[in-house]
Amino acid sequence: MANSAGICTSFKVELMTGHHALGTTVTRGGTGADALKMALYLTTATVTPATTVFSATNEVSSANYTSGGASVTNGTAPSSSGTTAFWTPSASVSWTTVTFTTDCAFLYNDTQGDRAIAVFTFSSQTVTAGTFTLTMPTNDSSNALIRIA
Amino acid sequence: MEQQVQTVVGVLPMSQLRYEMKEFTEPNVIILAREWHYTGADPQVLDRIAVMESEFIKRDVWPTILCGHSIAAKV
Repeated sequence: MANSAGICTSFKVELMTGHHALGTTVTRGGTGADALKMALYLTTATVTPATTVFSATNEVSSANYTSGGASVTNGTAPSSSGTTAFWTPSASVSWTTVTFTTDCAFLYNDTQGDRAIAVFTFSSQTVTAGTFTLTMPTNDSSNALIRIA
Repeated sequence: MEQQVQTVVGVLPMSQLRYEMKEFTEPNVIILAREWHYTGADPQVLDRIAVMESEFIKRDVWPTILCGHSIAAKV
């Protein structure tokens, strides 16, 4: 078997589990698993992949919606298939009896200074005294919420 | 006892409501929405609905992410 170059698949998984600290110092705080959150934003917000931390600016507002969003159930460890590492929350994120219009969900790390993870957009949706449920994709190497290929 | 439903014009009995399902397909997201309409004859409720921007008095939404984000590694 010949040698071959590439980022190790185990490293991709371990980026998500906090095993590696590249650079000159360890910047991570805490040693436990992080609490993740999902927040929703108005269509007038400007949340993009350039966003670095959670902000309440232009976040949706409603009874039964708390600023900062809802906790994300993180019951499934990151894994890999082939050369792709992947991870998906283990449950949908839901709000009941809320009223707002949104087109953006922002996933962030509530434990590590509200640091940004990913932004998800969709066409503008109005919820009226109703349930808003963000349903997660299949947790595999082709569809997972976060994939490092 | 008849089921009661919370709407923007108050709690109403299920018998005075109807709903319709709508589906929006996007490249990476499927959105299902359930829009509720009033079918009763209470003039107070009808007056409130008449001044609303939308016809529905309750709307539930389920966006399903079909495929999340991928970060491609390069050597």
